[in-house]
Amino acid sequence: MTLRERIVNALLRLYPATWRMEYGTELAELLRRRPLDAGVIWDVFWNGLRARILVQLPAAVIGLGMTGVVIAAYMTGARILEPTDITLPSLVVAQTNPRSALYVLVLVSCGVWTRLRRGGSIGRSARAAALVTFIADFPVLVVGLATVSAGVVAAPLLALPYSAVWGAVGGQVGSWIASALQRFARVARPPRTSGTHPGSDNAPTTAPTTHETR
Amino acid sequence: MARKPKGGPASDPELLILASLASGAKHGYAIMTDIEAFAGVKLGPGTLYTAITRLVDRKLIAPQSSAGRQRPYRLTGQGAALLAEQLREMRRVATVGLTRLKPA
Repeated sequence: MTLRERIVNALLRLYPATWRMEYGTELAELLRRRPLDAGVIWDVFWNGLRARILVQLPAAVIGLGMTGVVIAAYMTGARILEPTDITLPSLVVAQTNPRSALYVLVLVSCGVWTRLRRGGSIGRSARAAALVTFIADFPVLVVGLATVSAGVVAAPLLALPYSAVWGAVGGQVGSWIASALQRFARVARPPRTSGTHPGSDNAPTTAPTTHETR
Repeated sequence: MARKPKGGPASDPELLILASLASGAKHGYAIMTDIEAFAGVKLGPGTLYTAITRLVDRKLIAPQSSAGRQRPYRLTGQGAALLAEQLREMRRVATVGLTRLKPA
């Protein structure tokens, strides 16, 4: 494999898998047919990153918000979230009591938002919540790596399964909300007066429970 | 989210792609070279495919089946209508602006 092919493959990997399946071959072909200068690399890099963030929108937004909270809390000494080992263990590793109901609420909300916005399985909500914690803890992870502190590095990683569980809870709550909304839409729909096939009220609704906002 | 075109109203990637496809179906590379020829705008490959993705999602253009590595895209009826509307609006603004620029 040539260096050029390696660069093209690396750039394509920035895009979400679903996008690559649809457009990856075409973009790769286009990149093979033109000079691969810095401007082109930056253009593909930036658009790939944007596509990746848009796909992970709920988790990315909440995660970056939480990163801000973590940094602000560290800089000001404020105990905004009272982090614990269940929530943000990187800040307070030794504590065992789950005091941070607020952060759990954030993870559950992320699960709900992911389920309502993107649909899919509960596993997707769980992964989104884990991603939130990973993004939020990223600065701590960097500090841990820089200071070669195994405890500081391990703590954010160990928090991922806990976060996924809360995300899954949120995903389940999101499913219930989606079902309730669907039922409400069915009840609120005005009755058909003409051209209605008998028994058509029992037909499955086509109203979407999730939507993509661009 | 609406993006402000860097090179004026006629450099919006989506508008340029629609205008390029108005003359017939083209694949990505052909769209890029066509836009460079008629508008003098160099679209990056990432920008091009981001705009193509958005246009396909909005059903303004549609991919055609192809055996090759590059699929051609064609303008849909909805896309043609939107392009016509946007171009008419641009012409109206341009006419007003040019008229006002004329010396009294």
